[in-house]
Amino acid sequence: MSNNRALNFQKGRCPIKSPAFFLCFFVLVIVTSTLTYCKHPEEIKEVSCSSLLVDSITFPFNKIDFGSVIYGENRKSNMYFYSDGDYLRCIRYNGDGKPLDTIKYPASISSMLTGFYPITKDSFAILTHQQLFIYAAKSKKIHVFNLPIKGFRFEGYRFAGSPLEVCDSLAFFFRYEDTLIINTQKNLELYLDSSHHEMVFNLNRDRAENIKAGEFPKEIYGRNSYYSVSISRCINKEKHELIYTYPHSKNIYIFNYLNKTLKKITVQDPVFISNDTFDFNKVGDFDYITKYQVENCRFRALKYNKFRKEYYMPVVYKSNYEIPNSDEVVRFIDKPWSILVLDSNFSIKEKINFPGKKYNFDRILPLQKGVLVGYYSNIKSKKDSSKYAVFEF
Amino acid sequence: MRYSSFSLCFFFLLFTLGCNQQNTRYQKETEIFNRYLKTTRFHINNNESYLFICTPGTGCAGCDEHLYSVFCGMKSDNILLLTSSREGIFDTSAILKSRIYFDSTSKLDRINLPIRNASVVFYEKGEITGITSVNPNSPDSIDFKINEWLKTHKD
Repeated sequence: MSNNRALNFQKGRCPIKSPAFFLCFFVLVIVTSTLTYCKHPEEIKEVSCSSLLVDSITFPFNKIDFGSVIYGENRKSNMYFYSDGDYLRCIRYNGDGKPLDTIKYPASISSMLTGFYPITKDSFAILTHQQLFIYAAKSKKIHVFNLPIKGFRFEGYRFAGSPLEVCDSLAFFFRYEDTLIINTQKNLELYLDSSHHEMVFNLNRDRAENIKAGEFPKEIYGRNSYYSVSISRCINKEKHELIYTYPHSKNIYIFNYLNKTLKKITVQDPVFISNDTFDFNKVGDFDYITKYQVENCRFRALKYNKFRKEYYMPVVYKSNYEIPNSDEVVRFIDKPWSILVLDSNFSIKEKINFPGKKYNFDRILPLQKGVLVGYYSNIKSKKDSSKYAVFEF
Repeated sequence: MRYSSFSLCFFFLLFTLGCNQQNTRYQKETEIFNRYLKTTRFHINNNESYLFICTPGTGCAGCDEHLYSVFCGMKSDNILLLTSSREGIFDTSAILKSRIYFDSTSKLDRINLPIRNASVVFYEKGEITGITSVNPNSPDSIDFKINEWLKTHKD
């Protein structure tokens, strides 16, 4: 038998034509495909960002200085409040983005604004470096809270800043420390905060609440932070929860500020690789930071959609920094990115993929009807900085 | 005899390589930068030395402003500003504008050179001899290097 086979082979009969070969081939194909499938044990539904409600809304503000805040009304339409430096702007979303109202900041707020939050449709919380204002637009009444933040220290400058959010008569904002001031010819620029901390101010008691001591997760306070690895905070008002995320970590910290309980949940994204190798000695090295951001997976700030009880976690996966046979490198903001849609238990429901160079992963605003996603814009020219698309995930 | 002539050749080769090493330190960067100047049609004289002040759209605004103010204070025709950001450019005089190369393609933001923050590229007769970026902790520290360059390139 074996001699015959050897003979056949010698005679030139091709072994590829034998049934045994076909059997082996099919077994190999099945095994290979199973192995490929096993690389992603948790099936995450991936979809492209095609379900647009409105392709383009351009809000009538050319310059939005430090972001935007939205206030969702449980009525027919949503109302948005923006701050663009000198004015509070209010528009009602009905598809065309026409402005509804413009309110100038009270004259008493003269120093640099660092945070803004609409509490109701008529009252706003406004944050400056050392003061918090509650401003009632109709009655034009203003209440001033002096924050217990001393401005100058030997190492640098301390100030209160974004993100500012108010709920249950508590104002949450970050206290930035050790900030260097670059006093340029034109204006004062604050730079390089080596750390920032959550600060809670009780508006009813007119004092800062010390819920920091021993109760917030140590990770939030026990290490340096910087914008490329700094913490983000999201609030779930119904559950009285502060939700903290880091760009480099799959861990989400949920702190209930009424019960003072803390939970840690890990986002089960099999593609994301947690990384904690950022060299804090190089916080002033832009080339290092740029390369590091591209070559490592990064989460961006978590957003809560109270209308659908779900969270949106933008994620940018790692890639090579240098482009082969090219004089150019990959820019972080040019990369394709995704939104992980998480349910109320932070389990991934689906992943929505966005192309690079079109939408901005840092400008996501959940609405009652759809989700606003800002268009990509040049950081300095601010072109398209007020242009949004509305998606239905 | 054969052995010693081989050694002689070897040391001659090493010596030649050693002499050329100074120019090859920024060889890759020079090639990239020269191609960039060519594709963006920024014309320079390859027999002259230049100091390029680069402010890409990726750096800190304060660092850009610092270098911009340095640039405005310099009268040499061989100090050029390469920028992809229009901010501030239109406030300048016509003389200064002639020394500003505005990169409307924003290639400056993506070029594979260590200039993600406001930087200075020292350029001697067609070759890069140094690249220094502004340190946000001490933006003034770059002034020393610029002044050193100015001292050696007075004419």
